[in-house]
Amino acid sequence: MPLIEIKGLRKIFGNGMGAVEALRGVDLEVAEGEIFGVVGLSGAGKSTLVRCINLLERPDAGTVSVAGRDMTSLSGRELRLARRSMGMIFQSFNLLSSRTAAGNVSFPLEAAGADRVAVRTRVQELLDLVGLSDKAGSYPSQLSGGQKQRVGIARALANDPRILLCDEATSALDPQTTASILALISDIQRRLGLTVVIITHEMKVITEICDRVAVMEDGSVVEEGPVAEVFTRPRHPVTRGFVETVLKSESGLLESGYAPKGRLLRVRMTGDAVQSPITGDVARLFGVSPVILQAHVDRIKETPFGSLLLDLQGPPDKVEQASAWLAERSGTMLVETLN
Amino acid sequence: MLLTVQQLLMLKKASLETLYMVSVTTAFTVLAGVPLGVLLVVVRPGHILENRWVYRIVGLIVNATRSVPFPIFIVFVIPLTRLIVGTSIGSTAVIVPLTLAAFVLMARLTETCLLEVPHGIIEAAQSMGASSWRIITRVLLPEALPGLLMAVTIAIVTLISYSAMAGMVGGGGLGDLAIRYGYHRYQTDIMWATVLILVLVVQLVQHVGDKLVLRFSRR
Repeated sequence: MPLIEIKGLRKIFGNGMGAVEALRGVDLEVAEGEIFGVVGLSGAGKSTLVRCINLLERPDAGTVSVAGRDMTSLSGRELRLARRSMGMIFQSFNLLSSRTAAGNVSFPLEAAGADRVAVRTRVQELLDLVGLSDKAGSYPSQLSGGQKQRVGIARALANDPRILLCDEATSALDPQTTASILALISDIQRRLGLTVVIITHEMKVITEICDRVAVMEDGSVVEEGPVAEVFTRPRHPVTRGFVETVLKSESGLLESGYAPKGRLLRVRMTGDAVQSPITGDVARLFGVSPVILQAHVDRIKETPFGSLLLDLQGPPDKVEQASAWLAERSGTMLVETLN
Repeated sequence: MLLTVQQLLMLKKASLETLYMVSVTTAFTVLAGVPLGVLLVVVRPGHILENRWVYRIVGLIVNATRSVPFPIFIVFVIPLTRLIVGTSIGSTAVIVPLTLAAFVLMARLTETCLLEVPHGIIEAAQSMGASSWRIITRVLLPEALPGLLMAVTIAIVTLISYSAMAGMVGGGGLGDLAIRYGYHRYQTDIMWATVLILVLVVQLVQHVGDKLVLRFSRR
């Protein structure tokens, strides 16, 4: 059974002529222990979606069940208790400016009714976990963006939640800080066995730590699946657009006036295939000359990932054989002829 | 400019009357105005205890109260003053209209301060399962504390100015002294002295207020 199950979720803001349908019937399942990413442009409805999980936003139709309980049917008190099993972090951190880092982390513990001694030891533990024990007495205005988000994470974890919701948690941070926050989320996810839902507009965040991804556009999920698959075989135009933000697009190269002499091939590989000498192999086996126009090696979570743009020059029948051979190799996700 | 002993005694008495009226009224104003301001905020559309009718009705009463000029207000609430204090004249009687006029101002000032608290912080508290009462007492009020201190300072200065009209119903105080002696009896020196005292007191109040705001500002 999935830990989070969303069915037919709809949300409309405003009414009459000015009404905006933020969610148009979203179905999603998030399994226990996975890091699930939701990517989309601003206004796609992804933030509304995550806020419907802990009912910061009440859906107009559809159900959200967490661990088998329908969240929309809970009473005020039950909802408050259920929310304590879900931590949430935000783009703008949302720390209390009148409290120190330690004071912010103790807030959810006080709300849950923990006694003072227990609060003190737990706060220390949590600040240690996020690497901020030396900043316990600092006010948010004295902390950097990354440090503020670490406080946010410690605060979200205070009541031992099963789920961590991240609403654009790294969007206000610079690339280095983003990387360190993502590493921290990934690390605590593994250590605590958390289920994480990440909302972002950055594909980099998805490829860095997510197991599965849903792509949203205009209030609907347009594509969903394991990250490696969605990333290497994007079907929807919006998904392609996101993939191209990480992987430089070949369209720019063609637009700049490059005229291929042979067949223009896009090859994407994962796993061990990334390390195999395919360009040398095709040259030797088929007598064709692969000209490398673009090459990119990265990783999706822990899996190596490679992308090549080749201008395969030679006799047409040999080029044909070579591309068929490439397509059949294990670990090759995609061989696409572009001309 | 030299004042006679008699004049100095009058100044002292008037100062104490003003101090009495303003301090008692300030206490009532804060005790009643801050909760009313909190109410005005939390029942707003989209806030934690959204209630359209309460918001409209309370807003209407506050606006109506604030519409009446203070001298007219003093006369208007005389029946209520008699009911509470037993008389409608004297320093104590003036406390009733002063409080009524100032606590709605305090409520509006409180409302403005609380609306400055970023909505995201309130949502974060909700996401942690905090109750509405906890959000009010542990999030809204502490976060708005510097602004609230500034609002109290404004309320005190306004009360000092309002209390000058207490003379209308025999409430005494510095303003009354200035009008009766300084204006009606042409004793300009008395007027100068009261103005000087008022200026100094307002400066002092503002200075202490600013210091406190600075002390509690963390943004």
